[in-house]
Amino acid sequence: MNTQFKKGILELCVLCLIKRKDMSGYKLVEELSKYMEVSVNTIYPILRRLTNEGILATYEIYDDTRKRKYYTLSSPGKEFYQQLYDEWNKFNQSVERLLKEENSDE
Amino acid sequence: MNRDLFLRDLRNELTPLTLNEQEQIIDEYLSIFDFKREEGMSDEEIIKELGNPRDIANQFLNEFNIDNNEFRYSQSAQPHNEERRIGLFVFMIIFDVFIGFWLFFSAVVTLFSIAIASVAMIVASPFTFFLSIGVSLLGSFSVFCLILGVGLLLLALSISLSRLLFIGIVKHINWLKSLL
Repeated sequence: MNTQFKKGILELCVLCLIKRKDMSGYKLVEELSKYMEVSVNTIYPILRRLTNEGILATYEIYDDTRKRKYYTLSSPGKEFYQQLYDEWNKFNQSVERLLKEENSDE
Repeated sequence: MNRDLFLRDLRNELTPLTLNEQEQIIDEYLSIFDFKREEGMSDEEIIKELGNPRDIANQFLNEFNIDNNEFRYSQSAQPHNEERRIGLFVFMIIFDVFIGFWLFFSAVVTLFSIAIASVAMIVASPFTFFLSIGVSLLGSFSVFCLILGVGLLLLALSISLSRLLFIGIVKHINWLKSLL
């Protein structure tokens, strides 16, 4: 699949999961793996970029003696997510309509 | 390969990014080791699963739109992290003013004196015939050959060393320019 396209969709999935619940990068990859085949090496760069763009924010929690970094959606991030979500929905519906029409032609 | 070696390699591959960014990324990978170790995986297994540090770094550099190959293969430190570059430049200028220049200066003086000495030997060599009147012709001829030979050798040496010095200085200056 086109990597740019895939990245955009992955971004949406990442934001959706973090919107539901703040979590660490590692946990996020685990969650995503339940739905699709992803590795930390593809997700971490996306997390870093989204953080740099201010869409995600991070905070640290100490459990035992270790610190864990949690990602959370910032308020501009929430807006961005909604926008991305709507775009995706619209696009998805169009594609589905197109595919169905093709099927009915057969 | 163990964890620290892996993280060091990864950090090396991430040099086009800012120090802070490198720190964040290394931190994330450090926590992967923590999690996976808890699951009972050995460092070797974890590293095998993660893959090659260069490939990992490439994904980050791509995400930040840095052409990593261009960075890697060009000598100029163009997309290099700003503070480090300026720091290196200032350090090199101070080094050059206090040490580098004087090293260069003494090298020039030394080469110049070797060159002068060699010319003097070449010019003076025929005079051995006049000085050694009375001694056998063969003897003065061998002394002549010796002095001429050493003179020519020294001249060749000083010329090639000067060329090397010149090339080195030009490279050094170009490198300093590329830092700015």
